[in-house]
Amino acid sequence: MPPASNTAAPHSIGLGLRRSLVEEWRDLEQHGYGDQPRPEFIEVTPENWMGLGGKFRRNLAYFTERYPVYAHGLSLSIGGPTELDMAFVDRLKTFLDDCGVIEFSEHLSYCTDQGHLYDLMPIPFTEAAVQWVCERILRVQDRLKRQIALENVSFYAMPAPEMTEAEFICAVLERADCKLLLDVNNVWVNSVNHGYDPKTFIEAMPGARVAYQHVAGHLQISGQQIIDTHGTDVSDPVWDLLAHAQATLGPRPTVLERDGNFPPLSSLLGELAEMGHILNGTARGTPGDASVEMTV
Amino acid sequence: MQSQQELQEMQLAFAAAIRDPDLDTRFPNVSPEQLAVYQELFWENLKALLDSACPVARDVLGQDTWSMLLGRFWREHPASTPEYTRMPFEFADWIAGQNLEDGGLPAWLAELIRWEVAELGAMFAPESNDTPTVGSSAKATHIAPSLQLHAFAWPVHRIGKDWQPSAPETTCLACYRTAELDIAFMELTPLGAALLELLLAEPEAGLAGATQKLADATGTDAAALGTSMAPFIDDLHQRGVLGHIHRKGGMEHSPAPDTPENL
Repeated sequence: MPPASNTAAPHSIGLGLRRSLVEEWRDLEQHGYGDQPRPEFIEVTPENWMGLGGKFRRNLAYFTERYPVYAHGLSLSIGGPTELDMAFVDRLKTFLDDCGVIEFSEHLSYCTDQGHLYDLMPIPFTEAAVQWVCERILRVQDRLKRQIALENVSFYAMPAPEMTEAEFICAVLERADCKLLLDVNNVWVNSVNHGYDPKTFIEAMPGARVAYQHVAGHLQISGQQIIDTHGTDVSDPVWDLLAHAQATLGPRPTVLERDGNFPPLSSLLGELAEMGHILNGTARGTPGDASVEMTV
Repeated sequence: MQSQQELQEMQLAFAAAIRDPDLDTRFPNVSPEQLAVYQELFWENLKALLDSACPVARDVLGQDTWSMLLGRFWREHPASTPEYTRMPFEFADWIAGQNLEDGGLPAWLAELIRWEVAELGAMFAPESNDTPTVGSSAKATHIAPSLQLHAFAWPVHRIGKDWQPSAPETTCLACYRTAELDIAFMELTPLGAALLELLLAEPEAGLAGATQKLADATGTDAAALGTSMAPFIDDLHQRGVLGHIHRKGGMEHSPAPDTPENL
């Protein structure tokens, strides 16, 4: 077993740790991965693990001892209309420190009104929102004693925008001096749903601020509508877009997110192999290539 | 240009429109179909969280009634916990505060849901990092931090799609994590539950203290009570629910049955 290091190289392939994957994954750790790639780092969701004991703690410890750890939060509500929950930020800090987390990311969105809604709402792309969210990011970074990365989220509606999505994201990153978690799947989803060119969007992102990347699967409802489900294999346009990001911004550690409709882990490892080819700039497998053959 | 106040009002209105589609709120640049995507995604997400936490309640009530109940919770309750794992406990607290029978819901529903989430409580409970408390006797009592102890007015553990109680029946139940980290369940006598509750309230007084208190409360002789409770206490030790804390050194989950003298 390779020891866990505290860095992930730019070409690293990562997999989101999910409870549904744990048993099968532990099995591979013990018996080997055969000709499939072993993930090079993991990403965990603090809100699903923090403060838990029993099997949850045991499984979390098993993987955080073996892998470099990135963390991807859900409930911070960085753009929320009500007061930041600083007690929660303190609990987060404990979790990040305990797990030796290398990068902590959250969503550039909000998930609260007076309470939690447990899913992501779009922050209006306005100057008032840039100011509001930057002030909050600065407070969180100050409290966590680290720079955080924010993810470009998929959105299905945008009330009264004053600027484009790319302008909004760039303004926030610049003024709050934070990093970007570039979710390549979300770029594709939004480009289809809102009719923009995804490659131009990626070219507009500040490359130096990209901490790491996400890819995931989505649900194509129609030619003009996609829902970001993380419940299917990564689609070809998203792989193409990852290749474009690699060529434009340079390689970054990249995580495969899978949150439902779980296939056998070997299928996800097949997707990691594909990801590795792209991040290393080697030619993509063709559809007939065994490395991209999926079992669903 | 939008002001800070207009921004926050719009964000709150957007969230309210997601919680309650009947509000029929309109937003500039947003079609009803776009808003409906959010309403459906958020609703399905909430349902998935609570369906998996309360499978028995969902089955017994049926999809329509269950959805109606979740809809009320969704619209009326601003959930305060950021941790997804704790949300079902908030649901259980909320429902405990509702007048169920006025809403045509079974009187035992809140207790059933409390019992369903108790299993999660046992699964999730953090290990104790505390230095074991030392009691006045040589051995104070360690209680498994995962122990969930409940006295119910209804036999909630027997409720299922095929059977629901027609009359209350005092029922004391516990669940806890085993040494293998699986969840185990116990039905307790009211006296056994009372003893455990006293122990939980004041672990540093040890079993002897709890037994004395129970004897005082029930007007019985402490030694006789201790003798009659010994098999129950042995069982709790075997199960790892109780252990010993020595005055010096660490905690010990005693594998050996306790004797009445230890009470």
